[in-house]
Amino acid sequence: MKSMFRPAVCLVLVLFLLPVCGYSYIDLGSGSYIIQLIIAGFVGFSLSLRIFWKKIRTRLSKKTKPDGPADVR
Amino acid sequence: MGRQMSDESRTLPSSFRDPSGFLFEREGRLYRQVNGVYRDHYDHLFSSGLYRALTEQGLLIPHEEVDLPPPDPDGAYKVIKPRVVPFISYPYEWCFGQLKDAALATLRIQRTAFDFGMSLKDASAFNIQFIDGRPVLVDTLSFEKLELRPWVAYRQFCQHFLCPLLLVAYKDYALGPLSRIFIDGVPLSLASRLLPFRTRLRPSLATHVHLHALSQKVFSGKKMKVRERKIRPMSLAGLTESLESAVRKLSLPIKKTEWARYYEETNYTPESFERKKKIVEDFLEVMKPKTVWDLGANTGIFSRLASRRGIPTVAFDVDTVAVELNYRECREKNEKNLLPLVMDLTNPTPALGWENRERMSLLERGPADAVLALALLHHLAISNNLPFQRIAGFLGRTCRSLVIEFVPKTDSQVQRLLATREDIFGHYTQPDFEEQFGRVFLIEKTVPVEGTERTLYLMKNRGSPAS
Repeated sequence: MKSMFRPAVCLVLVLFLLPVCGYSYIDLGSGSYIIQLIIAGFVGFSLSLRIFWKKIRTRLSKKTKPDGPADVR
Repeated sequence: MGRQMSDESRTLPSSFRDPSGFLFEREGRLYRQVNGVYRDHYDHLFSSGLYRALTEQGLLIPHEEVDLPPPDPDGAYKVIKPRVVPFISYPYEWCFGQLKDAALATLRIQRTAFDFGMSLKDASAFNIQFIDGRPVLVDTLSFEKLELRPWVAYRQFCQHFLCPLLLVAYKDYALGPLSRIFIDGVPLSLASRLLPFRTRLRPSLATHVHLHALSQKVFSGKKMKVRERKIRPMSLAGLTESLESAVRKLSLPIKKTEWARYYEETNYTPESFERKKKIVEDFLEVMKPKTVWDLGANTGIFSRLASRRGIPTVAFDVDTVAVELNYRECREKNEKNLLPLVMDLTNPTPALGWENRERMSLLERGPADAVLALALLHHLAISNNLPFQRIAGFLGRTCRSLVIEFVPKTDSQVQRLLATREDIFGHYTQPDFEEQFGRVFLIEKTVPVEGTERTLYLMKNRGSPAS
Protein backbone atom coordinates (compact mmCIF):
# COMPACT_ATOMS: atom_id res chain seq x y z
CA MET A 1 0.00 0.00 0.00
CA LYS A 2 3.04 2.24 0.62
CA SER A 3 3.73 2.25 -3.08
CA MET A 4 0.34 3.79 -3.68
CA PHE A 5 0.72 6.55 -1.08
CA ARG A 6 2.36 9.16 -3.30
CA PRO A 7 0.11 8.60 -6.33
CA ALA A 8 -2.87 8.73 -3.98
CA VAL A 9 -1.77 12.07 -2.56
CA CYS A 10 -1.20 13.44 -6.07
CA LEU A 11 -4.59 12.16 -7.21
CA VAL A 12 -6.41 13.74 -4.28
CA LEU A 13 -4.57 17.04 -4.83
CA VAL A 14 -5.49 17.11 -8.49
CA LEU A 15 -9.07 16.17 -7.69
CA PHE A 16 -9.34 19.07 -5.29
CA LEU A 17 -8.33 21.37 -8.10
CA LEU A 18 -11.23 20.21 -10.24
CA PRO A 19 -14.27 22.46 -10.28
CA VAL A 20 -17.06 21.12 -8.08
CA CYS A 21 -19.96 23.37 -8.84
CA GLY A 22 -22.07 21.04 -10.75
CA TYR A 23 -24.67 20.58 -13.32
CA SER A 24 -25.09 16.83 -13.24
CA TYR A 25 -24.81 13.96 -10.84
CA ILE A 26 -22.21 11.36 -11.61
CA ASP A 27 -22.55 7.73 -10.67
CA LEU A 28 -20.22 4.88 -9.78
CA GLY A 29 -18.29 5.56 -12.95
CA SER A 30 -17.22 8.88 -11.45
CA GLY A 31 -13.79 7.51 -10.55
CA SER A 32 -13.21 6.54 -14.19
CA TYR A 33 -14.58 9.87 -15.35
CA ILE A 34 -12.25 11.91 -13.18
CA ILE A 35 -9.09 9.89 -13.78
CA GLN A 36 -9.79 10.08 -17.49
CA LEU A 37 -9.98 13.88 -17.35
CA ILE A 38 -6.60 13.96 -15.64
CA ILE A 39 -4.95 11.47 -18.01
CA ALA A 40 -6.53 13.07 -21.06
CA GLY A 41 -5.22 16.45 -19.88
CA PHE A 42 -1.67 15.17 -19.61
CA VAL A 43 -1.58 13.07 -22.76
CA GLY A 44 -3.41 15.75 -24.74
CA PHE A 45 -0.84 18.32 -23.62
CA SER A 46 2.01 15.98 -24.48
CA LEU A 47 0.50 15.21 -27.88
CA SER A 48 0.09 18.94 -28.60
CA LEU A 49 3.72 19.52 -27.63
CA ARG A 50 4.90 16.73 -29.90
CA ILE A 51 2.90 18.06 -32.84
CA PHE A 52 4.13 21.60 -32.14
CA TRP A 53 7.74 20.39 -31.91
CA LYS A 54 7.39 18.42 -35.12
CA LYS A 55 6.12 21.53 -36.91
CA ILE A 56 9.04 23.59 -35.64
CA ARG A 57 11.53 20.94 -36.71
CA THR A 58 9.93 20.73 -40.14
CA ARG A 59 10.13 24.51 -40.56
CA LEU A 60 13.70 24.69 -39.30
CA SER A 61 14.84 21.88 -41.55
CA LYS A 62 13.23 23.64 -44.50
CA LYS A 63 14.97 26.89 -43.61
CA THR A 64 18.38 25.39 -43.00
CA LYS A 65 18.25 23.09 -45.98
CA PRO A 66 20.49 24.44 -48.73
CA ASP A 67 18.85 25.06 -52.05
CA GLY A 68 18.77 22.04 -54.22
CA PRO A 69 21.49 21.56 -56.84
CA ALA A 70 21.04 23.42 -60.02
CA ASP A 71 19.79 21.44 -62.88
CA VAL A 72 23.06 20.14 -64.26
CA ARG A 73 22.96 18.51 -67.61
CA MET B 1 -38.10 -6.94 -22.78
CA GLY B 2 -41.22 -4.99 -23.45
CA ARG B 3 -41.19 -5.61 -27.17
CA GLN B 4 -44.09 -6.83 -29.19
CA MET B 5 -42.47 -9.44 -31.39
CA SER B 6 -44.01 -10.75 -34.52
CA ASP B 7 -44.42 -14.52 -34.29
CA GLU B 8 -41.74 -15.58 -36.73
CA SER B 9 -38.96 -13.45 -35.15
CA ARG B 10 -36.79 -14.36 -32.20
CA THR B 11 -34.76 -11.68 -30.42
CA LEU B 12 -31.28 -12.87 -29.54
CA PRO B 13 -31.04 -13.32 -25.77
CA SER B 14 -27.75 -11.39 -25.75
CA SER B 15 -29.21 -8.33 -27.44
CA PHE B 16 -31.05 -6.24 -24.88
CA ARG B 17 -28.72 -3.71 -23.28
CA ASP B 18 -28.47 -1.08 -26.01
CA PRO B 19 -31.67 0.87 -26.79
CA SER B 20 -30.23 1.71 -30.23
CA GLY B 21 -31.46 -1.60 -31.64
CA PHE B 22 -31.34 -5.36 -31.29
CA LEU B 23 -30.50 -8.55 -33.12
CA PHE B 24 -33.18 -10.99 -34.14
CA GLU B 25 -33.46 -14.21 -36.08
CA ARG B 26 -35.95 -14.89 -38.79
CA GLU B 27 -36.07 -18.07 -40.82
CA GLY B 28 -32.62 -19.04 -39.60
CA ARG B 29 -31.04 -15.73 -40.68
CA LEU B 30 -29.69 -13.01 -38.42
CA TYR B 31 -30.90 -9.41 -38.72
CA ARG B 32 -30.56 -6.23 -36.68
CA GLN B 33 -33.33 -3.74 -36.06
CA VAL B 34 -32.10 -0.14 -35.87
CA ASN B 35 -34.36 1.90 -33.61
CA GLY B 36 -35.65 5.40 -34.27
CA VAL B 37 -33.75 6.79 -31.25
CA TYR B 38 -30.50 5.89 -33.04
CA ARG B 39 -31.51 7.37 -36.39
CA ASP B 40 -29.20 10.44 -36.35
CA HIS B 41 -26.15 8.43 -35.38
CA TYR B 42 -26.89 5.68 -37.90
CA ASP B 43 -27.32 8.19 -40.70
CA HIS B 44 -24.14 9.98 -39.67
CA LEU B 45 -22.23 6.68 -39.82
CA PHE B 46 -22.95 6.66 -43.56
CA SER B 47 -23.01 10.34 -44.45
CA SER B 48 -19.67 10.92 -42.71
CA GLY B 49 -18.03 8.10 -44.70
CA LEU B 50 -17.05 6.20 -41.54
CA TYR B 51 -18.95 3.03 -42.47
CA ARG B 52 -17.16 2.87 -45.79
CA ALA B 53 -13.75 3.60 -44.30
CA LEU B 54 -14.09 0.92 -41.63
CA THR B 55 -15.58 -1.79 -43.83
CA GLU B 56 -12.87 -1.18 -46.44
CA GLN B 57 -10.24 -1.67 -43.75
CA GLY B 58 -12.02 -4.85 -42.61
CA LEU B 59 -12.61 -3.39 -39.15
CA LEU B 60 -16.42 -3.25 -39.20
CA ILE B 61 -18.81 -5.99 -40.29
CA PRO B 62 -20.51 -5.07 -43.56
CA HIS B 63 -24.28 -5.22 -43.83
CA GLU B 64 -27.07 -4.46 -46.24
CA GLU B 65 -30.32 -2.72 -45.52
CA VAL B 66 -33.27 -4.98 -46.20
CA ASP B 67 -36.91 -4.34 -46.85
CA LEU B 68 -38.21 -6.60 -44.12
CA PRO B 69 -41.03 -5.92 -41.64
CA PRO B 70 -39.29 -5.02 -38.35
CA PRO B 71 -40.17 -7.21 -35.37
CA ASP B 72 -40.86 -4.13 -33.23
CA PRO B 73 -42.44 -1.69 -35.72
CA ASP B 74 -43.16 1.04 -33.13
CA GLY B 75 -39.51 1.77 -32.41
CA ALA B 76 -38.03 0.75 -35.73
CA TYR B 77 -36.05 2.89 -38.15
CA LYS B 78 -34.43 0.23 -40.34
CA VAL B 79 -33.66 -3.47 -40.57
CA ILE B 80 -30.17 -4.49 -41.60
CA LYS B 81 -28.69 -7.85 -42.53
CA PRO B 82 -25.07 -8.17 -41.31
CA ARG B 83 -22.58 -10.56 -42.87
CA VAL B 84 -22.66 -13.99 -41.25
CA VAL B 85 -19.98 -14.67 -38.63
CA PRO B 86 -18.79 -18.24 -39.29
CA PHE B 87 -18.23 -19.08 -35.62
CA ILE B 88 -19.03 -16.97 -32.57
CA SER B 89 -16.14 -16.95 -30.09
CA TYR B 90 -15.78 -15.19 -26.76
CA PRO B 91 -12.89 -13.27 -25.15
CA TYR B 92 -12.44 -15.98 -22.50
CA GLU B 93 -11.70 -18.44 -25.32
CA TRP B 94 -9.09 -16.25 -26.98
CA CYS B 95 -5.36 -16.51 -26.50
CA PHE B 96 -3.28 -13.48 -25.54
CA GLY B 97 -2.51 -12.54 -29.15
CA GLN B 98 -6.17 -12.62 -30.11
CA LEU B 99 -7.21 -10.40 -27.19
CA LYS B 100 -4.36 -8.00 -27.96
CA ASP B 101 -5.33 -7.79 -31.64
CA ALA B 102 -8.97 -7.26 -30.66
CA ALA B 103 -7.92 -4.43 -28.29
CA LEU B 104 -5.80 -2.76 -30.98
CA ALA B 105 -8.61 -3.12 -33.52
CA THR B 106 -11.01 -1.42 -31.08
CA LEU B 107 -8.61 1.49 -30.61
CA ARG B 108 -7.95 1.78 -34.33
CA ILE B 109 -11.70 1.94 -34.90
CA GLN B 110 -11.95 4.67 -32.26
CA ARG B 111 -9.14 6.66 -33.92
CA THR B 112 -10.77 6.32 -37.32
CA ALA B 113 -14.14 7.30 -35.85
CA PHE B 114 -12.63 10.56 -34.53
CA ASP B 115 -11.55 11.46 -38.06
CA PHE B 116 -15.18 11.20 -39.16
CA GLY B 117 -16.70 13.03 -36.20
CA MET B 118 -17.85 9.93 -34.34
CA SER B 119 -16.80 7.88 -31.31
CA LEU B 120 -17.38 4.41 -29.90
CA LYS B 121 -20.05 4.43 -27.22
CA ASP B 122 -19.02 1.04 -25.95
CA ALA B 123 -15.81 -0.95 -26.05
CA SER B 124 -16.98 -4.42 -25.12
CA ALA B 125 -14.71 -7.28 -26.12
CA PHE B 126 -17.87 -9.23 -26.94
CA ASN B 127 -18.47 -6.82 -29.84
CA ILE B 128 -15.40 -8.19 -31.58
CA GLN B 129 -15.45 -11.41 -33.58
CA PHE B 130 -12.77 -13.09 -35.67
CA ILE B 131 -13.73 -13.17 -39.34
CA ASP B 132 -11.26 -14.34 -41.97
CA GLY B 133 -8.67 -14.51 -39.21
CA ARG B 134 -9.01 -10.83 -38.28
CA PRO B 135 -10.75 -9.03 -35.40
CA VAL B 136 -13.87 -7.25 -36.66
CA LEU B 137 -16.39 -5.05 -34.84
CA VAL B 138 -19.77 -6.73 -35.27
CA ASP B 139 -21.96 -4.17 -33.50
CA THR B 140 -22.82 -1.60 -36.16
CA LEU B 141 -24.71 0.46 -33.58
CA SER B 142 -21.64 1.09 -31.40
CA PHE B 143 -21.03 4.57 -32.77
CA GLU B 144 -22.31 7.95 -31.72
CA LYS B 145 -21.67 11.46 -32.94
CA LEU B 146 -18.51 12.79 -31.34
CA GLU B 147 -19.08 15.02 -28.34
CA LEU B 148 -16.18 16.69 -26.63
CA ARG B 149 -16.61 14.90 -23.33
CA PRO B 150 -14.72 12.04 -21.66
CA TRP B 151 -14.86 8.74 -23.55
CA VAL B 152 -17.83 6.85 -22.12
CA ALA B 153 -16.30 3.47 -22.92
CA TYR B 154 -12.94 4.17 -21.26
CA ARG B 155 -13.55 2.06 -18.15
CA GLN B 156 -15.08 -0.73 -20.24
CA PHE B 157 -12.03 -0.82 -22.47
CA CYS B 158 -9.70 -1.05 -19.47
CA GLN B 159 -11.76 -3.85 -17.90
CA HIS B 160 -12.43 -5.85 -21.05
CA PHE B 161 -9.02 -5.57 -22.66
CA LEU B 162 -6.24 -3.90 -20.70
CA CYS B 163 -6.63 -5.69 -17.35
CA PRO B 164 -6.96 -9.25 -18.77
CA LEU B 165 -3.98 -8.65 -21.07
CA LEU B 166 -1.83 -7.32 -18.23
CA LEU B 167 -2.71 -10.19 -15.92
CA VAL B 168 -1.66 -12.75 -18.51
CA ALA B 169 1.47 -10.84 -19.55
CA TYR B 170 2.68 -10.03 -16.03
CA LYS B 171 1.25 -12.82 -13.84
CA ASP B 172 0.13 -16.10 -15.35
CA TYR B 173 -1.44 -17.65 -18.46
CA ALA B 174 -4.00 -19.23 -16.18
CA LEU B 175 -5.60 -15.82 -15.56
CA GLY B 176 -6.73 -15.60 -19.19
CA PRO B 177 -10.18 -17.08 -18.60
CA LEU B 178 -10.82 -14.69 -15.68
CA SER B 179 -13.19 -12.78 -17.93
CA ARG B 180 -15.37 -15.89 -17.92
CA ILE B 181 -16.12 -15.08 -14.26
CA PHE B 182 -16.26 -11.31 -14.72
CA ILE B 183 -18.46 -11.04 -17.78
CA ASP B 184 -18.33 -7.22 -17.72
CA GLY B 185 -14.57 -7.21 -17.59
CA VAL B 186 -11.97 -7.79 -14.90
CA PRO B 187 -12.47 -5.24 -12.10
CA LEU B 188 -9.71 -2.65 -11.99
CA SER B 189 -9.31 -3.02 -8.23
CA LEU B 190 -8.67 -6.76 -8.60
CA ALA B 191 -6.22 -6.27 -11.45
CA SER B 192 -4.42 -3.54 -9.52
CA ARG B 193 -4.04 -5.83 -6.49
CA LEU B 194 -2.83 -8.80 -8.52
CA LEU B 195 -0.35 -7.01 -10.78
CA PRO B 196 3.30 -6.85 -9.70
CA PHE B 197 4.93 -3.68 -8.38
CA ARG B 198 6.86 -3.02 -11.58
CA THR B 199 3.63 -2.22 -13.43
CA ARG B 200 3.33 0.84 -11.15
CA LEU B 201 6.58 2.15 -12.59
CA ARG B 202 5.23 2.29 -16.13
CA PRO B 203 3.36 5.59 -16.45
CA SER B 204 0.65 4.26 -18.76
CA LEU B 205 -0.12 1.30 -16.50
CA ALA B 206 0.20 3.34 -13.32
CA THR B 207 -2.49 5.69 -14.60
CA HIS B 208 -4.87 3.50 -16.65
CA VAL B 209 -4.94 0.70 -14.08
CA HIS B 210 -3.59 1.61 -10.64
CA LEU B 211 -4.65 5.24 -10.32
CA HIS B 212 -7.83 4.40 -12.18
CA ALA B 213 -8.61 1.73 -9.56
CA LEU B 214 -7.73 4.13 -6.78
CA SER B 215 -9.90 6.83 -8.26
CA GLN B 216 -12.81 4.39 -8.42
CA LYS B 217 -12.24 3.49 -4.80
CA VAL B 218 -12.09 7.12 -3.70
CA PHE B 219 -15.32 8.04 -5.44
CA SER B 220 -17.19 4.77 -5.09
CA GLY B 221 -20.68 5.28 -3.72
CA LYS B 222 -20.14 9.02 -3.19
CA LYS B 223 -22.70 11.38 -4.60
CA MET B 224 -20.92 14.47 -5.73
CA LYS B 225 -21.62 17.13 -8.23
CA VAL B 226 -19.08 17.75 -10.89
CA ARG B 227 -19.47 20.21 -13.69
CA GLU B 228 -19.79 18.54 -17.09
CA ARG B 229 -16.37 19.18 -18.53
CA LYS B 230 -15.55 19.46 -22.16
CA ILE B 231 -12.49 17.68 -23.35
CA ARG B 232 -10.27 18.83 -26.19
CA PRO B 233 -10.13 16.65 -29.33
CA MET B 234 -6.37 16.48 -28.82
CA SER B 235 -6.91 15.04 -25.34
CA LEU B 236 -9.31 12.38 -26.67
CA ALA B 237 -6.80 11.45 -29.35
CA GLY B 238 -4.03 11.43 -26.75
CA LEU B 239 -6.01 9.09 -24.51
CA THR B 240 -6.55 6.64 -27.36
CA GLU B 241 -2.90 6.86 -28.32
CA SER B 242 -1.81 6.27 -24.74
CA LEU B 243 -4.00 3.14 -24.47
CA GLU B 244 -2.75 1.94 -27.83
CA SER B 245 0.86 2.37 -26.78
CA ALA B 246 0.22 0.53 -23.49
CA VAL B 247 -1.40 -2.42 -25.30
CA ARG B 248 1.15 -2.54 -28.11
CA LYS B 249 4.06 -2.86 -25.68
CA LEU B 250 2.59 -5.97 -24.05
CA SER B 251 4.03 -9.29 -25.09
CA LEU B 252 3.61 -12.87 -24.01
CA PRO B 253 6.76 -14.79 -23.14
CA ILE B 254 6.32 -18.25 -24.64
CA LYS B 255 7.05 -20.91 -22.05
CA LYS B 256 7.60 -24.49 -23.14
CA THR B 257 4.40 -26.00 -21.79
CA GLU B 258 3.61 -29.71 -21.93
CA TRP B 259 1.33 -29.33 -24.92
CA ALA B 260 3.21 -26.66 -26.84
CA ARG B 261 6.06 -29.12 -27.38
CA TYR B 262 3.75 -32.07 -27.97
CA TYR B 263 4.79 -32.70 -31.54
CA GLU B 264 8.46 -32.62 -30.54
CA GLU B 265 7.85 -35.64 -28.34
CA THR B 266 5.69 -37.88 -30.49
CA ASN B 267 6.57 -41.55 -30.52
CA TYR B 268 6.24 -42.11 -34.25
CA THR B 269 8.53 -41.46 -37.16
CA PRO B 270 8.14 -38.56 -39.62
CA GLU B 271 6.97 -41.14 -42.20
CA SER B 272 4.19 -42.39 -39.91
CA PHE B 273 3.22 -38.80 -39.16
CA GLU B 274 2.90 -38.11 -42.88
CA ARG B 275 0.84 -41.31 -43.31
CA LYS B 276 -1.48 -40.15 -40.55
CA LYS B 277 -1.92 -36.82 -42.30
CA LYS B 278 -2.66 -38.61 -45.57
CA ILE B 279 -5.36 -40.76 -43.92
CA VAL B 280 -7.01 -37.67 -42.40
CA GLU B 281 -6.91 -35.96 -45.79
CA ASP B 282 -8.53 -39.00 -47.40
CA PHE B 283 -11.26 -38.96 -44.76
CA LEU B 284 -11.86 -35.23 -45.36
CA GLU B 285 -12.17 -35.99 -49.06
CA VAL B 286 -14.85 -38.58 -48.31
CA MET B 287 -16.77 -36.42 -45.81
CA LYS B 288 -16.54 -33.10 -47.67
CA PRO B 289 -17.55 -31.23 -44.50
CA LYS B 290 -18.72 -27.63 -44.56
CA THR B 291 -17.34 -26.96 -41.06
CA VAL B 292 -14.69 -28.72 -38.97
CA TRP B 293 -13.87 -28.62 -35.28
CA ASP B 294 -10.46 -30.01 -34.36
CA LEU B 295 -10.64 -31.03 -30.69
CA GLY B 296 -7.26 -31.11 -28.97
CA ALA B 297 -5.76 -29.39 -31.99
CA ASN B 298 -2.49 -28.36 -30.34
CA THR B 299 -0.72 -25.98 -32.74
CA GLY B 300 -3.11 -26.85 -35.56
CA ILE B 301 -1.11 -29.15 -37.85
CA PHE B 302 -4.12 -31.35 -38.57
CA SER B 303 -6.60 -28.45 -38.45
CA ARG B 304 -4.76 -26.99 -41.44
CA LEU B 305 -5.50 -30.09 -43.50
CA ALA B 306 -9.11 -28.92 -43.34
CA SER B 307 -8.70 -25.13 -43.35
CA ARG B 308 -6.38 -25.22 -46.37
CA ARG B 309 -9.20 -26.83 -48.31
CA GLY B 310 -11.23 -23.69 -47.63
CA ILE B 311 -13.28 -25.33 -44.86
CA PRO B 312 -14.00 -22.99 -41.91
CA THR B 313 -12.17 -24.78 -39.11
CA VAL B 314 -12.05 -24.14 -35.38
CA ALA B 315 -8.97 -25.51 -33.60
CA PHE B 316 -9.63 -26.03 -29.89
CA ASP B 317 -6.95 -26.77 -27.34
CA VAL B 318 -6.67 -26.54 -23.58
CA ASP B 319 -3.13 -25.16 -23.74
CA THR B 320 -3.09 -21.41 -24.17
CA VAL B 321 0.54 -21.48 -25.41
CA ALA B 322 -0.30 -24.02 -28.14
CA VAL B 323 -3.25 -21.82 -29.14
CA GLU B 324 -1.01 -18.74 -29.10
CA LEU B 325 1.51 -20.44 -31.43
CA ASN B 326 -1.32 -21.57 -33.68
CA TYR B 327 -2.75 -18.04 -33.83
CA ARG B 328 0.67 -16.53 -34.58
CA GLU B 329 1.04 -18.88 -37.52
CA CYS B 330 -2.44 -17.91 -38.73
CA ARG B 331 -1.44 -14.23 -38.62
CA GLU B 332 1.94 -14.77 -40.26
CA LYS B 333 0.46 -16.75 -43.12
CA ASN B 334 -2.73 -14.68 -43.29
CA GLU B 335 -4.87 -17.80 -42.90
CA LYS B 336 -8.55 -16.98 -43.25
CA ASN B 337 -10.27 -20.28 -42.48
CA LEU B 338 -8.69 -21.25 -39.19
CA LEU B 339 -9.78 -19.99 -35.78
CA PRO B 340 -7.68 -21.25 -32.84
CA LEU B 341 -9.45 -21.14 -29.46
CA VAL B 342 -8.65 -22.10 -25.88
CA MET B 343 -11.05 -24.80 -24.67
CA ASP B 344 -10.89 -27.34 -21.88
CA LEU B 345 -12.99 -30.20 -23.21
CA THR B 346 -13.43 -31.64 -19.74
CA ASN B 347 -15.05 -28.33 -18.75
CA PRO B 348 -16.20 -26.70 -22.00
CA THR B 349 -17.50 -23.13 -22.10
CA PRO B 350 -20.90 -23.03 -20.42
CA ALA B 351 -23.78 -20.71 -21.24
CA LEU B 352 -23.24 -17.47 -19.32
CA GLY B 353 -24.77 -14.12 -18.50
CA TRP B 354 -28.32 -13.06 -17.80
CA GLU B 355 -30.65 -16.08 -17.57
CA ASN B 356 -27.65 -18.15 -18.75
CA ARG B 357 -28.59 -17.04 -22.24
CA GLU B 358 -26.34 -14.09 -23.07
CA ARG B 359 -23.29 -16.10 -24.12
CA MET B 360 -23.65 -19.51 -25.70
CA SER B 361 -22.14 -22.74 -24.47
CA LEU B 362 -19.82 -24.64 -26.77
CA LEU B 363 -22.48 -27.19 -27.69
CA GLU B 364 -25.02 -24.46 -28.53
CA ARG B 365 -22.61 -23.25 -31.22
CA GLY B 366 -22.54 -26.60 -32.93
CA PRO B 367 -22.86 -29.08 -34.35
CA ALA B 368 -19.91 -29.11 -36.73
CA ASP B 369 -20.12 -31.12 -39.91
CA ALA B 370 -17.02 -33.00 -38.87
CA VAL B 371 -14.93 -33.33 -35.73
CA LEU B 372 -11.28 -34.37 -35.64
CA ALA B 373 -10.35 -36.08 -32.37
CA LEU B 374 -6.74 -37.10 -32.95
CA ALA B 375 -4.51 -38.29 -30.12
CA LEU B 376 -7.23 -37.13 -27.77
CA LEU B 377 -9.05 -40.24 -26.61
CA HIS B 378 -6.36 -41.52 -24.22
CA HIS B 379 -6.09 -38.13 -22.53
CA LEU B 380 -9.84 -38.02 -21.90
CA ALA B 381 -10.17 -41.69 -20.95
CA ILE B 382 -7.03 -42.15 -18.86
CA SER B 383 -6.03 -38.70 -17.58
CA ASN B 384 -9.63 -37.73 -16.86
CA ASN B 385 -11.22 -41.12 -16.05
CA LEU B 386 -13.89 -40.64 -18.70
CA PRO B 387 -15.55 -43.89 -19.84
CA PHE B 388 -15.75 -44.48 -23.63
CA GLN B 389 -19.52 -44.36 -23.39
CA ARG B 390 -19.44 -40.79 -22.03
CA ILE B 391 -16.86 -39.63 -24.57
CA ALA B 392 -18.90 -41.10 -27.43
CA GLY B 393 -22.03 -39.44 -26.01
CA PHE B 394 -20.34 -36.02 -25.90
CA LEU B 395 -18.81 -36.32 -29.38
CA GLY B 396 -22.19 -37.48 -30.69
CA ARG B 397 -23.57 -34.08 -29.69
CA THR B 398 -20.82 -32.15 -31.48
CA CYS B 399 -20.79 -33.51 -35.03
CA ARG B 400 -22.29 -35.42 -37.93
CA SER B 401 -19.02 -37.15 -38.85
CA LEU B 402 -16.10 -38.04 -36.64
CA VAL B 403 -12.46 -38.81 -37.32
CA ILE B 404 -11.03 -40.37 -34.19
CA GLU B 405 -7.73 -42.00 -33.33
CA PHE B 406 -7.51 -45.01 -31.06
CA VAL B 407 -4.24 -45.20 -29.14
CA PRO B 408 -3.78 -48.60 -27.43
CA LYS B 409 -2.43 -49.11 -23.93
CA THR B 410 0.82 -50.48 -25.31
CA ASP B 411 1.57 -47.12 -26.98
CA SER B 412 4.36 -45.29 -25.15
CA GLN B 413 2.24 -42.13 -24.79
CA VAL B 414 -0.44 -44.10 -22.93
CA GLN B 415 2.25 -45.83 -20.90
CA ARG B 416 3.51 -42.40 -19.89
CA LEU B 417 0.04 -41.48 -18.64
CA LEU B 418 -0.16 -44.72 -16.69
CA ALA B 419 3.36 -44.47 -15.26
CA THR B 420 2.35 -42.58 -12.14
CA ARG B 421 -1.03 -44.10 -11.45
CA GLU B 422 -2.82 -47.38 -10.96
CA ASP B 423 -4.19 -48.93 -14.13
CA ILE B 424 -7.90 -49.03 -13.38
CA PHE B 425 -8.78 -49.02 -17.07
CA GLY B 426 -9.63 -52.63 -17.77
CA HIS B 427 -12.12 -51.53 -20.42
CA TYR B 428 -9.59 -49.46 -22.33
CA THR B 429 -9.39 -51.88 -25.25
CA GLN B 430 -10.00 -51.50 -28.96
CA PRO B 431 -13.02 -53.88 -29.01
CA ASP B 432 -14.62 -52.01 -26.11
CA PHE B 433 -13.92 -48.69 -27.85
CA GLU B 434 -15.58 -49.96 -31.04
CA GLU B 435 -18.56 -51.31 -29.12
CA GLN B 436 -19.22 -48.10 -27.17
CA PHE B 437 -18.63 -45.73 -30.10
CA GLY B 438 -20.61 -48.08 -32.37
CA ARG B 439 -23.73 -47.30 -30.34
CA VAL B 440 -23.55 -43.60 -31.22
CA PHE B 441 -21.70 -43.73 -34.54
CA LEU B 442 -21.66 -45.96 -37.56
CA ILE B 443 -18.05 -47.01 -38.15
CA GLU B 444 -17.41 -46.41 -41.84
CA LYS B 445 -13.65 -46.81 -42.18
CA THR B 446 -10.89 -48.25 -40.02
CA VAL B 447 -7.31 -47.54 -41.10
CA PRO B 448 -4.23 -48.52 -39.04
CA VAL B 449 -1.46 -45.92 -39.09
CA GLU B 450 1.48 -47.82 -40.52
CA GLY B 451 4.58 -47.77 -38.33
CA THR B 452 2.53 -47.19 -35.16
CA GLU B 453 0.09 -49.13 -33.02
CA ARG B 454 -2.61 -46.56 -33.61
CA THR B 455 -5.80 -46.76 -35.69
CA LEU B 456 -7.82 -44.02 -37.33
CA TYR B 457 -11.59 -44.32 -37.63
CA LEU B 458 -14.07 -42.50 -39.80
CA MET B 459 -17.50 -42.59 -38.20
CA LYS B 460 -20.92 -41.23 -39.03
CA ASN B 461 -23.41 -40.11 -36.39
CA ARG B 462 -26.34 -42.56 -36.17
CA GLY B 463 -28.71 -39.82 -35.11
CA SER B 464 -28.80 -36.07 -35.42
CA PRO B 465 -26.46 -34.26 -33.05
CA ALA B 466 -28.60 -32.15 -30.72
CA SER B 467 -27.47 -30.11 -27.80
